[in-house]
Amino acid sequence: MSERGAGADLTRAEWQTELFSECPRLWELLKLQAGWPLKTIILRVHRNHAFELVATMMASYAAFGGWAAQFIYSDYSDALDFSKMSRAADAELIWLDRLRYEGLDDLEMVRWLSLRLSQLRGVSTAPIIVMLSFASSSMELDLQRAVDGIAACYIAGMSETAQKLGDDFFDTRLESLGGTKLSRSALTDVAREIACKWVPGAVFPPIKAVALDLDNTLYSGVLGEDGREGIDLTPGHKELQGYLHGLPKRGVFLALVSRNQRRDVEELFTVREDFPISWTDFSATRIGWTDKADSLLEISRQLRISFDAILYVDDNPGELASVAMRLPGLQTLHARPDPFETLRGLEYYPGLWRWRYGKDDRLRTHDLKASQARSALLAETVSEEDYFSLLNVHLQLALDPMSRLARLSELSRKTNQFNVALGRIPEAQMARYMSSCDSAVVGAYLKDRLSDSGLIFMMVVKRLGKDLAIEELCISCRALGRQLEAVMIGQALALAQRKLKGRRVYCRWRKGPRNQPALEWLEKASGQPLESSEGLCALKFLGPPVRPPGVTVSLLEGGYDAK
Amino acid sequence: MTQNELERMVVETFSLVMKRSLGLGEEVLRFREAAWTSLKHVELILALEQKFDFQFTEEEMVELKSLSDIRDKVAKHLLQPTRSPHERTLAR
Repeated sequence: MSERGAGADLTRAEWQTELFSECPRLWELLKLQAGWPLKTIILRVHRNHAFELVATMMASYAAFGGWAAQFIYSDYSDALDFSKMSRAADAELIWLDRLRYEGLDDLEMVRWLSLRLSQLRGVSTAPIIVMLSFASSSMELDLQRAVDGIAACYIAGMSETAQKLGDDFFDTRLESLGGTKLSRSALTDVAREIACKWVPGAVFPPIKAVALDLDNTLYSGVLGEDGREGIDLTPGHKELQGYLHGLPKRGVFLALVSRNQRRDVEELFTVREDFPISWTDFSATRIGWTDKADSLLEISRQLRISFDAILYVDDNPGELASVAMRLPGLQTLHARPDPFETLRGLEYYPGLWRWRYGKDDRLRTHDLKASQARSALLAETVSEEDYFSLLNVHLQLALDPMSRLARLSELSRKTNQFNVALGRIPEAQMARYMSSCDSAVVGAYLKDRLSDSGLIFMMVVKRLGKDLAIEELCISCRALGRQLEAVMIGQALALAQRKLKGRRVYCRWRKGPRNQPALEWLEKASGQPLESSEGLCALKFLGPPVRPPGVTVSLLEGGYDAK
Repeated sequence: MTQNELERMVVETFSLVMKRSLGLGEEVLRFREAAWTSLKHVELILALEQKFDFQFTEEEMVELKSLSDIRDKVAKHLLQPTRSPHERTLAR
């Protein structure tokens, strides 16, 4: 998502009421024109009914998220012909009216469509999003099961919109003139889902943390003036807090940034048992009188994430504009006087909704707490051996773990610090690396006495003549600072060598705004400074794979079961 | 709502949908307006229906061939509220 100026954040705050109202008004949506730079996302639409009305309604939602869609339309075809695709797209949208396949029952339709999607996957590496109008929820589920083996292929829940709108989902008047049976309400609803959830969930890096202001954001009132019993948890604030309480289980950190007395805030969360959100839900807190931009920077440091992966929610638009000016790229949402509006703004905030939530997401918040205990242990122990022995570190490696495709691609797309080439590899491309005999993908899982960090390492190695090249190497920030980077890289490379048997090892690299930790490692391993913006260099100081005493290493056959 | 207010609201909606500025009282004929495609026609109808809270019949949708047609039809609906297609189906 593109960076905006502070003025843009104020405009976006003004837009929220219309964009996230229960029933957005079409003519008001058309008035919203972005005055900030938008990233172009190319969407190819394979369709058998009209999509153009959805495209019009999507524009303001996409602009809110910092992007604009450029559409490539297929001809109208029930057969889904993928033979005329000449240029790459960022996402493939399948937009079908189920009612046009009267001759196929649900089972036949699932079988036919999954075969077509499999064929599409063969010719495009972009995420595929399938939107079937007038299909039942059970058919959507069956289709999702049928395409589970197809990388980055997602079945959107159109039936949910149909259920929500009832008779208002369709409007047969529009069929002859508008080329679709969907009603205005359905088209608006689906446009919002596509622009705020379905496309960003497949294409953009996810939001990793939500940082919250306290007064008039999580409740109505001001703690310092109304006191902990005087502030009002309205039904809307209760629902908003309930939603936020669920985010850490989905792998999204919660942080608190408030101008208050720390003791008052801690007591508030102890005393107010009616609050769905609890003090322990926050992975980082900055309470005091310091500048909020400084507080957010400190939060990003504590959470080990970049500040542009944080969504900051505050009821004061001036505060939002001020932090946006200091931290361009930070995501912001205005906490509205009506908390239900804020809730819908969060539910639809681009990048916060994800297609899948896995074990690695659930581990994230626990892992951060463990890392603080680990740092304390490192400060206390005298030797590296003692440190590893006390932690009981276990590293598991997997070669080409196809079952973890989504997580490996996510690591490539999300990791900013220890990411050597910033390749941002889509799932379909990752699957190709795994199935080719000229490349290998190694994943590594890390566990110790304090936490199970899950899959935190990914390396893609390709054959380069008689040599090998590391095409991508990512280590999650959750695993950094444990003195294990060199161990993981050495062990992973040894495993890739088993498959590819290369002579020398090279590494591809590209400088980004935040991948200094990875480049520092590469400078040491290559023995040369990395002066240009990207390149390929030979690794000279790797040596044999190391395994420090106290660290156990094992090989997982056939990947790792995340369930 | 006065005639002037109605005219202003119709013109504003038309301008937003067709992405072109338009003066009050100005006539626009569909066959002369390149941007007035069938999809833009539907978009305009949907925006007007939501703004004025009524529904055109399918026949009316086809009959709207100029801005003055639209203004007249909107005025007629506002004077004589009609049932939506769903309501008509239910009433039958």
